Amino acid sequence: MQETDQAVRMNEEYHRTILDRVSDKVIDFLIFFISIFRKNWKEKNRSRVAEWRLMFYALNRSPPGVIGLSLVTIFILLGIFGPVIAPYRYNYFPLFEESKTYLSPPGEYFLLGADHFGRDLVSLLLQGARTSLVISIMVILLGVPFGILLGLIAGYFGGKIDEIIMRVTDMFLAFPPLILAIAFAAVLPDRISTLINQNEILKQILLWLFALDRTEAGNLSRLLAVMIAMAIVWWPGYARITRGSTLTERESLYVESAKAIGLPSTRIMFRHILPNIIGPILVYITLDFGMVVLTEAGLSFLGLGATPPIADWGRIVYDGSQFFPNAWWLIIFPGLIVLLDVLGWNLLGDSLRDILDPKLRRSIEFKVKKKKEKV
Amino acid sequence: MKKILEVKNLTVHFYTYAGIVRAIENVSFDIYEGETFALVGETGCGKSVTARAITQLIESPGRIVGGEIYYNRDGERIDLLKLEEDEIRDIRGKDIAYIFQDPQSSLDPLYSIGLQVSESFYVHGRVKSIKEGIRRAVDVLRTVLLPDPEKRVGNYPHELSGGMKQRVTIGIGISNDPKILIADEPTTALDVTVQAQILDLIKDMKNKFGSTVLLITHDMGVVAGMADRVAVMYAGKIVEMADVFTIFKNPQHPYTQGLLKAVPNPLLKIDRLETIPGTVPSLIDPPKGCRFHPRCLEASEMCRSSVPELKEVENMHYVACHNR
Repeated sequence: MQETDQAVRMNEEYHRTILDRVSDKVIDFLIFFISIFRKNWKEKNRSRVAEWRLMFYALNRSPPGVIGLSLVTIFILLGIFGPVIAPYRYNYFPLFEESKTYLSPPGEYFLLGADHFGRDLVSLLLQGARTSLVISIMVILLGVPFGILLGLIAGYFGGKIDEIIMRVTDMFLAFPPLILAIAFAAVLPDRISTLINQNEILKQILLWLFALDRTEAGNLSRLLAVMIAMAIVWWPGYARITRGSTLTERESLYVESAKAIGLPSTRIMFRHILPNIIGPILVYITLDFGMVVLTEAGLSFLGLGATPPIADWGRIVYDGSQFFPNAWWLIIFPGLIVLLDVLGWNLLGDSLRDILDPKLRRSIEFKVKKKKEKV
Repeated sequence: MKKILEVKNLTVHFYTYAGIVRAIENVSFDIYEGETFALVGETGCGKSVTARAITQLIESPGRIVGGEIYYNRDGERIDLLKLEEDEIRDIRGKDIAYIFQDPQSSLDPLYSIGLQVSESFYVHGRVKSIKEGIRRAVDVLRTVLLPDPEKRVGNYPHELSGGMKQRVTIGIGISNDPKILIADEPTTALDVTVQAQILDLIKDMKNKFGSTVLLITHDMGVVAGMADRVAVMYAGKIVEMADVFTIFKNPQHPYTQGLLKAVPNPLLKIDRLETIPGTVPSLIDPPKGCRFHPRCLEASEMCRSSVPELKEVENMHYVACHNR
């Protein structure tokens, strides 16, 4: 807080809304957290922190951005803590104890009703949030770096290498992504189930990631297959945009000066070109995250990926569709959740574009209020 | 005097969609150790291409079609155009360093200037880590007279003025004590007062480190102040080459004469500056014979048909013209 005050310590001061104060507190907490590990970090990175504050102020000026960020934060938190705070485990079947729980409507036994095993829909949705989050993040983590790498190489070296890489990319782009993902997700599980069975550590990590019990180990290969299948489909878009940005950046003079002092190509690519083009890619990732969530739900709706009793939003809708319209809650609530999740990412991505660009950010006007003179 | 760089019949073509651009054709010159050699000519005549070709910095669609460039390093004669990518990379920045025209964009906006100077140390193995390099960068920045180098070393390019940035790029250029410093229009993007400071700085650096300077410019004033020897380029060819006094006192080629007439003389009061009629020819389809003949007042039938060779008219004074 002191830093910003010093910067505008005149008679005028930015008018800060409640949101600004909240975001300032968040940043203060972050600074405090970092200072524990690294001394003098605060003093050295004063301008960086001021920039963060400005970013948040700019975000706070756009209501869609705030809504998007809140939705995304909520869904990430639900993804992390959902399985922990869920009232029941996903593999607890009340139907065996109480037959009336079969498709019980909202409010009767559980808040949002129950499915045909009598399971609590809230618990299932919370468990599904974890499945969705883990798969989406893994797809982005696997697919995006691969796409960026290929795009960088293609754009930087050009010529034949560019032709080869981009034609392969075109081949992948020519297929409808959902169809290609279905094909891979249908074929892969058999191939990788032995891999998971032999590798105990991988199995443990996956079980921990998805918050599943050991009994579900046999179904892990299907989840992993969906991840791999989607990653395979997901990289071409990133190769495309990275190549495009690299082509323009390659012509800039600082790249030429870097060559002129004898820097090796890899260093120029990763240390100079990549950081300069990462902004648009980050925005694209955020916009794309919603698409990943949607595709993942779509795949599991089609019966690929999670199998009961593993909870997944798409799977809940698919199972519920057989009891529609009597058990409408099994379709409406998961659908709403997916809608909100995708909407959140899209809104956030849209406003991030304005905020990450320093030039656009500076054009956002702040209201100034006159500071009361204190003597 | 010892030759440090010999350029022989250098030819660079650009293979564009519009056609083959013959950017430079059969350019030959020698640079002697310790001198300042200036390449002069108007925009698009191939000065920068020549300079970049020296360390194979020509990008696709350009290609070095022919010629040899010999660099004499401690008695060793190296053909720079035959070197592999990693060998030439070792020469760039260490033996032959560049200063580019536009300091605003020749620094990476994302890194502090100290890191960028340090990077040039680091890739040539002068320092073990980037951090150590940043400490040494302070000395370099002090050498190029950047005010308050201890503080400035952590600044980012956008925090500096154009002149300061050019000092930093010069600092990067001299950081490895290069034998040859190629300054590609180092003052074009700067204010006049800053221009003078930067030129003084380059002179100082040259005297201090005893390096050879290849100066590329279109400013005859800069040439007069800096150069020892001058080569005048027109449409991808050298048309005249001599020491700086001869060029200004006794220019032989019609183009050089026209170029010098176009420079205002503060002692004479004239209403209109003289210009060379016509425009620079397209290098995709250059004029046959002498490339200057469509604009030349003395053009004869011979000029239209046959290409003039560079020949010595006086001692160390070369002219490519049929009429001399």
